[in-house]
Amino acid sequence: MKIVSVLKRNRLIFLVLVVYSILLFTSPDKAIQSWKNSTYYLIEMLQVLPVIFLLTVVIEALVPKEMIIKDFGENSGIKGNLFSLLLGSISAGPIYAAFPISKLMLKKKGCQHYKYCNYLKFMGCYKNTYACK
Amino acid sequence: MDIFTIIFWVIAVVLFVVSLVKSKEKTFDAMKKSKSMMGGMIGEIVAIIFLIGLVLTFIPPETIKTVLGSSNTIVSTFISAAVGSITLIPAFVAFPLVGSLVDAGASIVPAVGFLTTLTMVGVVTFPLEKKEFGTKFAVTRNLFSFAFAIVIALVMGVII
Repeated sequence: MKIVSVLKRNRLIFLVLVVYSILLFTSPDKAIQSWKNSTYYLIEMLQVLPVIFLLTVVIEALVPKEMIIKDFGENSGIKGNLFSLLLGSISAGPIYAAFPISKLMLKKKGCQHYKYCNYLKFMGCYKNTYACK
Repeated sequence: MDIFTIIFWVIAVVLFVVSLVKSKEKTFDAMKKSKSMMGGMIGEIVAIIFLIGLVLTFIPPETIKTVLGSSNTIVSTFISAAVGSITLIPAFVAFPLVGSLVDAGASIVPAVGFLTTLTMVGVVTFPLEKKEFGTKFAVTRNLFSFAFAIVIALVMGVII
């Protein structure tokens, strides 16, 4: 039973492992190519994730809950939209880097609506602004 | 490391030190919370990264080039946007690739569609997004992003 739950929780990584294993037998060159392609992104992740970790810590420790509610929450109005948009636009990097920050904002109840966190997903943000209203 | 990453590193470290000085207790508390939150995501992120490697093997840049350069603008815009949704190519690879195509006379509309969905729509990151924010959120955000990427591409075609 324990194995089942571990498998369930890490479904995606097991799925990817299976695909790689199959590839390794059927066309090894493709498996190697995929591995090589991935290394760039691995390095990128190692560069970006520590920063995200530090930032979530700083937000959690320094920014009071009331401030997030005021600036990004349900009643933040147009100011909240603009802030989120700005925050989303200046952040660079892979999309998964925005997930922890957005989640933290949501957890702090700053974002009563998902749409506000939506903006945090950089670059595409202003389109989402209208999209999710 | 590119300049933006370095800037973010500096900002993050400075803020972190400020936080430590202000309240050690609060900072350590926050570190614990962040650790458990990010710990839940890291497995998925690693899986996604290896998934991207697979996708890039089967949809190499050369394929993207042929799709972007095809003559039927409407069809190629949709296909380019779809390819952009699936792949996660770093901007410094995508910009020169698309730039050279546009210089060579390819239409700007599929090019913009591709570049926009590249960042806005994430098919490979979808499982993680779904897990963290719920199915409704992930589906809505990605669908709207895709639709608006098409709109942006068409509008860009009119403006430029």
